[in-house]
Amino acid sequence: MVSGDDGSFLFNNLLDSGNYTLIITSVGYDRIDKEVLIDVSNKDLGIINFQKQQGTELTGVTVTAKTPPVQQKQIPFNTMQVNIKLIPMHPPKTSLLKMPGITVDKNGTATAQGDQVKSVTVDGKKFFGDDATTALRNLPAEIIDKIQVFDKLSDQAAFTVLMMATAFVQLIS
Amino acid sequence: MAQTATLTGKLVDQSDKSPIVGASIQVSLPNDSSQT
Repeated sequence: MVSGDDGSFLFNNLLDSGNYTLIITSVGYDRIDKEVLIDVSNKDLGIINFQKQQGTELTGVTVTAKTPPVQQKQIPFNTMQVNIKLIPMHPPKTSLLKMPGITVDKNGTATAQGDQVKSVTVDGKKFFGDDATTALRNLPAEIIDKIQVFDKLSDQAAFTVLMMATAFVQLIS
Repeated sequence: MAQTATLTGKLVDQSDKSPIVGASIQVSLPNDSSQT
């Protein structure tokens, strides 16, 4: 049963005499377990004080998440940026194969979005000149943090309006 | 006819003595059955 508007309650027709266990619960209050001896016709417990539960301050919670292995962002100039988590000691060309739109043929020539990768830059500087295949073969995978592949106007192409596919490799900072 | 007993009481908040409305009350009978 539940207590009424004035907090009162009534159990009637208790047939057996003896020790009854009274259990009282309410949201926000401590539970009451009370032994009650019923040995007369009527038993009035009177006022029963209900104590509010003490609030407990929770400690801070830190939520952590892993970076998705592949993440693409649409940024200007038809540039594709890919963050990739590399397995240590795997050659970079193997990692490039995991990137969408990137293929590496048996000769080690990388193709991005249908265009051959013409050069590799590390932190903005060319690596092995314009020999992208050699650059990809000689870059230790464990130092690669992020790979970006994008179409970029070369210095000369800026004048001739020729597009050049460039693989851009950044070092872990 | 068997004699029956009644059990009454009143629940109040310990701090401000206001009545506690809607609290769940259950009594366990000596033979382990219960009445709510």
